[in-house]
Amino acid sequence: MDFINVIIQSVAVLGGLGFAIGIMLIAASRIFHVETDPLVEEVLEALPGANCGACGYAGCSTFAEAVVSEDAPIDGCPVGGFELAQQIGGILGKEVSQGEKQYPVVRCKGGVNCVNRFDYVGVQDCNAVMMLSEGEKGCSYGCMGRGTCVRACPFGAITIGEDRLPHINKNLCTSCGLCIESCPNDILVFGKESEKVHVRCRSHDKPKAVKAVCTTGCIGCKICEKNCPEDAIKVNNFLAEIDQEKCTACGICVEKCPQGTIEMKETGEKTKKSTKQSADSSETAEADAG
Amino acid sequence: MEIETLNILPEKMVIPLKQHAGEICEPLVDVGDTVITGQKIGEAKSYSNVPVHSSVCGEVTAIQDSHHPDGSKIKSIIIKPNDSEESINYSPLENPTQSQLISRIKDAGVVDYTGEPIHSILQPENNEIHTVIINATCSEWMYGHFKSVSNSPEQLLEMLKLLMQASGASKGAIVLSNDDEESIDAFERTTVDGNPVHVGPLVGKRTIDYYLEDMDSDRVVVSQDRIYGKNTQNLFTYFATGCKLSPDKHPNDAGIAICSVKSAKALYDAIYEGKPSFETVISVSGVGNANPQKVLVKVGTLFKDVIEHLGGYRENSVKLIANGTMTGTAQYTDKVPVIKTTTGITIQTEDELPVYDTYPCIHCTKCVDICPMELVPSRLAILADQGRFDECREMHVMNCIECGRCAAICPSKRHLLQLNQYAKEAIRRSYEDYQPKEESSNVTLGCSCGGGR
Repeated sequence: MDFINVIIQSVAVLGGLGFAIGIMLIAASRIFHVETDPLVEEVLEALPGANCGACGYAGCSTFAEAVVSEDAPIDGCPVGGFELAQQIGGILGKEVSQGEKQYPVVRCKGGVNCVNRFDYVGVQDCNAVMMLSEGEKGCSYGCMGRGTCVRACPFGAITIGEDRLPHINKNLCTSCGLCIESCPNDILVFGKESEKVHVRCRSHDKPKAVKAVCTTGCIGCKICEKNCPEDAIKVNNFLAEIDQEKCTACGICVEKCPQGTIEMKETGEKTKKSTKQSADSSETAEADAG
Repeated sequence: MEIETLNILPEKMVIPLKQHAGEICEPLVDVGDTVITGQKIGEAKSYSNVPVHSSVCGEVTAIQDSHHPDGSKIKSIIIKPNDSEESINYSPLENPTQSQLISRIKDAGVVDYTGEPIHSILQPENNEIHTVIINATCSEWMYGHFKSVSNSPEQLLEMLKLLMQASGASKGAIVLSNDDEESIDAFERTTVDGNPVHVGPLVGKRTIDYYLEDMDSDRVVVSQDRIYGKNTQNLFTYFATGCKLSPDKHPNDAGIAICSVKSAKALYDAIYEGKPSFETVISVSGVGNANPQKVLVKVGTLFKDVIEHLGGYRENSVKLIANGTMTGTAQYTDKVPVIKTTTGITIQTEDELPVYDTYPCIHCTKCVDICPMELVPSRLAILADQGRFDECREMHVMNCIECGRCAAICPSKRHLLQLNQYAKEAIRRSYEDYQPKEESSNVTLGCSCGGGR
C-alpha cells in the first residue's frame, strides 16, 4: 500500500503544483497582455530578413513596424523591389504602383585613362586617398578606384575592373543606394533602367585641364548638343547633361562624342540604332554592363 | 647656425588667400594693380580669421586657384615682383593698451604653426585667459628666429610679458625642451624682475603653478621632454599645467593660451617694428650638400625657387615634403608657395625613403610601447582597416596626437598613422552629419553598412 500511497501523493503534489502555476501563468498573460499587431508579424514574414539597413531603418522588424504605422512607404525596401511591395500591399490592403528599377551609374570613365599626379602609398580606401591632397588623380572629379563602394555593397554587386573603375552587376544589384552614399567623390548616381544614354564624366574643369589629365573626359565641345535631334543635351559649365525625358536613345551623340564620354547602356532589347552600331560601341556597352 | 636671408627675385610669387585654419580671405587688389611690401591684399571676413599681406613689391598678374602646401587648390594672388624696396610705413606701438595690442596683432595677420590666428588664441571670444605659455619645445630650433643668441632669452621673456598683457593673463611660462641645454644655459644667465631665472623641470605635480608659487613671480621658465605631432596642444597643456582636456576641447577652454616661438617673434615684430607677418624662418634639409639650413623666406616664394637658390636637388631626389618628415605633407609639385605656417622643406632621396611593402602585424607591441598617448596603435589600425570605427572610438583613437612614431617604428611598415587619421576623419564626418535613427547603435561611417554587418 505504501507504494500506491507514494504514487498518489506525488501525482497530487505535482498535479496541484502544475495546476497552480498554470493558473498563475494564465493570470499573468491576461494582466500583462501586450497588443501586437498581427500585420507587423505578417509583413516581417514577407520581408527578406537580411537586416541590411538599406531602407534607412535599423533592421527588418523596425521597418515592418514603420510600414504598418505608415511611417515608411510600402516600397521602402529596395531589396524586395516591386514584388515585395505588392505582397506587402496585399497584406495591408493597399494599391501599389509599379516603380521603375534604378541602378547606379558610374559618372567617370577615367580610371587608367586618367593620369596620376603622384604615387600613392598607403591605406587602400577612397576616403583615405582623399585625405592626401584630395586624391592622386589628376582630375579632382575622378573615380579613385580604391573600392569603397565595393565594400559598401552588402550584395557583392560591385567589382573594380581592370580599368580601375567600378562595374555594377545588375543581376545582384538591389538599388539600395549604399554605394552612392559611400562614394566620397560623388561618382555614382541613380539612373532608371529606361535611361540608356549617360555622360560618364562629372568634371566641370575647363577643356584644357581635362585634356591634360584624361583621354575620356567631357571637354564641353558641344558637338553632342548641336547634333541631338531631340534637343535633349545641354552643355552646362563644360559638362554635357542629358535630359532623360527627351532622350530617345538614338545614339547619335554616342557616335559623335570625340572623347567617347557619352555611352549607351546595353539593354538586351534591340534599340533603334542597333543596325548602325559597330563592333567598338558594343564593346563599350559590354564594359558598362560589367 | 646662422639664418640666411633669401634674397632672390623670382619670376612670380604666389600668395594664397588662406594661410590659416578658417575662412578664405576676400582679395583687396585686382589684376594689374601694383602692390608694395606689407600692403594688405586680403581682408579677413570675421574675428577668427586673419588678413594676408604682400611680401614683395610688384604687379598682380592673376588671381586664381593655385597649389597650396596642404594639397588642395586655394585662390591665390599671383604677383610678378620687381626690385623696388618700397614698403608701407611701419609704425611701432608705444605703451599700447590691451585692445590696441589685439587689434594690431589681428591686422598683422600672425598665425600659429597649427594654423590658428594668434589674436583668437590670446583673446578667444568665449573664454578668459589666465595663463600664457610659450612652447619652445617644438622641433623648430629656438634660436632660428633671433638675430643674436645672446639676448634672445630677454627678448623671449619680453614677448611673454607682451602676450600676457595682450591676453590679460596673470601667469606666464616659457617651456623649453629638456635636451636643449644651450637654451637652458642662456636662460639661467638672465633675470626676471630682478630675480635670477631657474629653469625647473616639469615632473609629476611640479607644474607651472608650482613654480610660479615657488619663485613668487608671474613668469617662469620650465623644461620638459620634447613632444611633437599634429595635435599636441592638449598633451602639452596636461604636462605644463596638469589640466586634462578631452580631444574635442581646446586649451582656450581651460583658460590657457599656447603660442609658439615663431609666432611670438612675429608678434613682437608686429608691435615693436610695426611689421605685418609676411616673412618666416624655415629649415631646409636635403638640398644641395644635404646639410640642414635655416633661411628667412618671404611668404609666397615657391619651393622651387628656394630649393634652386640653396643648391638645387640632389641626385635621386624622389620625395618633397612640406614641414618635417614625421608630420609633414608630401607634395606632388614644387610649385607650392611657402606660407605662414610652413616650418620647413624636406627632400628625401631614394636611399632615405623607408621600404614600401606592408606586411601583416607581428604583434611585437613596439608601437604600444612608444605611443606617448598610451594608445594601442596596432589594434586601432586593424579596426580602422576593417571599418569598425565605433570600436576605434571606444579605444580612444580621438586622443591620437598624430606624431607618427608608431608608423616609424613598425617593423612591418604598416600605415599605422594613416589608419588612425583615417578613423578619426571617419568619426568626425559621421558625427557631423549623421543623425542615428532610433535603435541604431552602429556608427555608419566609411563602411556605410547601416548596422547590418
